[in-house]
Amino acid sequence: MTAADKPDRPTPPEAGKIVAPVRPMQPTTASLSVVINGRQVATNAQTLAQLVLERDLGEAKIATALNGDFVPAGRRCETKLRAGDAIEIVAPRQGG
Amino acid sequence: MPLRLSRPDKVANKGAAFRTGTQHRLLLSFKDSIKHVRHNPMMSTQDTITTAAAPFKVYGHELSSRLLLGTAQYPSPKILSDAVLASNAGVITVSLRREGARAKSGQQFWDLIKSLNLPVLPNTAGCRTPREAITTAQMARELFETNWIKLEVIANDDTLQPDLFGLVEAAEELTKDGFNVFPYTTEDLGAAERLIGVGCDVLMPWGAPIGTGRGLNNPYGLQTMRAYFPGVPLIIDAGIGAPSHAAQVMELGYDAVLLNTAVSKAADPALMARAFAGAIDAGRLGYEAGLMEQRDMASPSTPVAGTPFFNLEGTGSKS
Repeated sequence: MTAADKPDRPTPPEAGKIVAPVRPMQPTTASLSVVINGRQVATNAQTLAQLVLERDLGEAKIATALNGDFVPAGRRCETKLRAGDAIEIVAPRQGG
Repeated sequence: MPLRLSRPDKVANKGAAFRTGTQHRLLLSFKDSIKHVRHNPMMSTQDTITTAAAPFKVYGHELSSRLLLGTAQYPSPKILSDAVLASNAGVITVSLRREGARAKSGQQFWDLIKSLNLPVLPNTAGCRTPREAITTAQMARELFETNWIKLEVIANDDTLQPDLFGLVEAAEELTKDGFNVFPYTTEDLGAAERLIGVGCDVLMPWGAPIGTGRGLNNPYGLQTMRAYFPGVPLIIDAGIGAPSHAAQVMELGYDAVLLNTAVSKAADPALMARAFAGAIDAGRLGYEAGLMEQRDMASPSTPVAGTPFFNLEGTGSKS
């Protein structure tokens, strides 16, 4: 447990995370609606690499696909996301 | 790539299905192979299996045994490990599935797989179209760091039978992309020739639908396939339910068996894994030794000449 997790202290915003806008009328970070593993998700990520980091899978053993096409790990940084994109994020599993 | 095998003359040879060039080579290497002694940590020293079954190669890689074992549906990771060790499997099959945010279950499984130190064959289980299968294969290649792929393109949810048209299409694309494709197919010879034509060096016909445990649904068709493709590694994939089924596969001259549920759903998976290892060795040795031909009528094994009380008049002894 880190110091920030202790209940007797006020919890600061998580480092690196974008805080939700307080005034909803004012547009801030462009939030994209994408489909990740079959579920509609709003994201602040602009690239596939940022999306992976946002989901805390930066260090995970995963592979990715965008709109049905494989995206190698090395190309996630340059892979821009657009509204409505369908992303698959997969990991090793038991199989027959 | 030209079709390599369309040779009915091979089928017509005396001794029929099983006398093949492959077998001849195997017989020649028998003396070498008998030295192979496997040690399994699951067993005591006295239990060490001595096997004479010759090894075989797929895509230039010599497998350490003729069993390919699936990793799904075990009661626990420990039981999976125990079963793999007890099976002496030469390859383990794996898959990939969607990973939730912050979940690390894939990492844990990957660590377990690495600890088993065996070649890994990822599958494209559940894919319904060539495109899904191709993308899944590409993701699997990156995840598992292998260009081997057990290619499944499924046609029907009730039978899980392969879509042979989609299978050929995906196999061709993947082979061009540098994959070594292990196609999950049927005993259909036309599809088999197409698969070989697009670059598959191994074929994996089903014994019965996946997960049914019914054994060999069409032994005649599979025997024909073995005879038709004497030089192609053939692995029975799916449908095996009992060690006797695996022994039958090997007696037919098939090169290996791929199974999962029969072991993972056994009351004692590690013990069942050991049973399969024994059955596969026994069946293979039986094939290499050359099975006798079946007869329709009884034929005495004990010499007839000199039988006591035998009467040439054919009435037997009567007092």
